[in-house]
Amino acid sequence: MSIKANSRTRIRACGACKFLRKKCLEDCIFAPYFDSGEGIVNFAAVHKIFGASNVTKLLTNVPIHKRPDTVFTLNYEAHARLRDPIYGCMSEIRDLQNQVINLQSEISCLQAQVARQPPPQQQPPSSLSMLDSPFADAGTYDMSLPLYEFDPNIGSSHQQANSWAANLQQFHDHNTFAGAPVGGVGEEFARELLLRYGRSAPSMPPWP
Amino acid sequence: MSKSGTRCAACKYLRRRCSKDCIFAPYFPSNNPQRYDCVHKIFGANNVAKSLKDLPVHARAMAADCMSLEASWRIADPVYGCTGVITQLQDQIIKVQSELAKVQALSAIHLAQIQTIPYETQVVQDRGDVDGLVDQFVNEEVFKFDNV
Repeated sequence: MSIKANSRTRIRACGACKFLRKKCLEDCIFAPYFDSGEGIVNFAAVHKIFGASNVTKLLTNVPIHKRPDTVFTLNYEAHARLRDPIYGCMSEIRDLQNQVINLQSEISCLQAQVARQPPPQQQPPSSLSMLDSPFADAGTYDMSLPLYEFDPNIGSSHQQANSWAANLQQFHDHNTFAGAPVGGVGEEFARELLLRYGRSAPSMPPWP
Repeated sequence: MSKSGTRCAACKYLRRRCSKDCIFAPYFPSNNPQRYDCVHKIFGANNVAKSLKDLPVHARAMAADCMSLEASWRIADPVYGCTGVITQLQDQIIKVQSELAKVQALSAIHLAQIQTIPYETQVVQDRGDVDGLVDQFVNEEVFKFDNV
């Protein structure tokens, strides 16, 4: 540390300049992002992987308000590469990609299972597709349509149940029933579900 | 030096002679100069050489590939680099988990529907049937949403 009369040197050197053992000037590009404590360790990692001049170039080419994020991600990548010199961040990316693939294949399996299941036992004289309502009696399947359209805006977790029930009600409201004589346990099930977790049963539109 | 006797992409970039035991030659062939360009801009020649030398020979090709990918992502997105890809994948996982929960719920609804009594029997035989169906459905399927 040094203090001069016309000093442009910082009173306390930043972590980068401490690591590099040089004077830390007022306009040091690293100073805002590498403090003199943990910043030294972080800069050591970044320096080992990327090099000081490359980091300087990267930071110079990025707007000032984006530099904290840039330093954070460089730090993250440098530490990942130090932990795993072969794969670096790629091992985490690979794991995440595998998770996505596994989840998507689980969805496909479930959809195939649903498609393979027999139709409901009720046989009403109706031209209604089963997909018009999950609780309606249906004589035919229309497998070209998606099985169910949920509202993608589910909302916060404590609203999940209400949103889901609202979705059911919305789905019910938006589907027409061409004289389908629905009823039985299916309708009772629907009413009970909505009664417990959403709108009350009397608000449901009357069955045609 | 590459098998054909030409300089590798790194030595061409660095404008030096490509020796027989050049560390870059097997992984940065002259037919793909952009690959080395990216790696040089982000990591630097010395850092790449040091990283490759510190690794066993069988792992160097994978390391070179990963460094190339990371460097190209960093050039495409100077602020977030490959962490931007990680964030996108994490968001995708959340969406797909939500979709899975929906499909599981639908599957349960479908199962409940095909287990209902025949249409001719309009009257619910036992109130407990309905309550049981609702409880089973809710407990087993719907509130998996909560963990999404």
